[in-house]
Amino acid sequence: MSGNGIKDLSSLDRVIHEPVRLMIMTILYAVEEADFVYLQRECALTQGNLSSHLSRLEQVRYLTISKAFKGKYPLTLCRLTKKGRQAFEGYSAALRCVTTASAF
Amino acid sequence: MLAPRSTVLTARQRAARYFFVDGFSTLIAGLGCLLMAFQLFYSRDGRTTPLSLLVSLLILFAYLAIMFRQREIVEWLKTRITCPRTGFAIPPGFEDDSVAHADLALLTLDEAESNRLSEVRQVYADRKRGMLFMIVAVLLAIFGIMLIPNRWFYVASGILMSAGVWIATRRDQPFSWLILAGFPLVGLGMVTFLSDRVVGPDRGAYLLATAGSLFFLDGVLTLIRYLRRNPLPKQTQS
Repeated sequence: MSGNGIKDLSSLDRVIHEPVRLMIMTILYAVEEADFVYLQRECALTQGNLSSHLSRLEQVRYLTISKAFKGKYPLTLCRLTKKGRQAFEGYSAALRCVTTASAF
Repeated sequence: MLAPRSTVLTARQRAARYFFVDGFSTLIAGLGCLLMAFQLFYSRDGRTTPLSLLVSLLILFAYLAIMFRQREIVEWLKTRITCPRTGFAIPPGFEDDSVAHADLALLTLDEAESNRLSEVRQVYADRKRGMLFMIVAVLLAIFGIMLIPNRWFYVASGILMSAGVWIATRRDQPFSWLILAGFPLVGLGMVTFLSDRVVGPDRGAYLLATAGSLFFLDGVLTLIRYLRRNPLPKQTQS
């Protein structure tokens, strides 16, 4: 954010700005690691919808997806990367600028 | 007007509570108390036959396994029961709240939210105080019941333990009324039915057995509720 007021809104991270991805990022920011089923239940999404958004976030390296077996059950584990955490914090800071501006 | 609740904080608390959703941790804690009580009952006669020694060793081994490997045992069960049904999440670290709050502080949206984060810090400080209170309450209950001969101390111990458990856990994982009301009620039952000849460590053993039974029962009921609400899906994500 450069401090140019309303124009700053155009620099919001559009990858995170999408509501479903914001939900996913928020949950993953709050936990160390979560699997696909947990995210699906928390966000109330279909498998396909969640998969596509996870792929998008993985594409920009905001999260890592790893497959693991616990016992005989497969888990698709998702975890925010350092870049993802920084992006989420940056996005939050940007929103803070918006709300601070609206107070005047 | 209350400031909106931080979404990150809500997600964090949901993840923390998710750890207890299936009742396994309560169930295992109950099992530990029952084993300890059983050991106290079993060893009170001072039997030293090879069989009694073997039994004592086995109980001790099981108890130590539960004490030091509780997390692993619970996770082993969760892997088989909980993960296929409702997924898996590593709850936020309880061990270092300051780190969690440093992260949260970065998400401050406005002054009101900053104030809320200060309140959150207060909540965590309260939780630590609550845990301390629970430890003190439980120790008072156990040693009090062994040292104070008055039968009504059974009820006092029950109330102490209920108060301790409630204060310590009401934010992260509120226990059911079965436990909160159970301790004083069972204390009343012990006043009514337990012989005056039960003294000293035996009284402590009865208290432990009671606590263990209540925790175990609460864990089993929570597990049954969880399993009924969350049947195993036909297709698991791979």
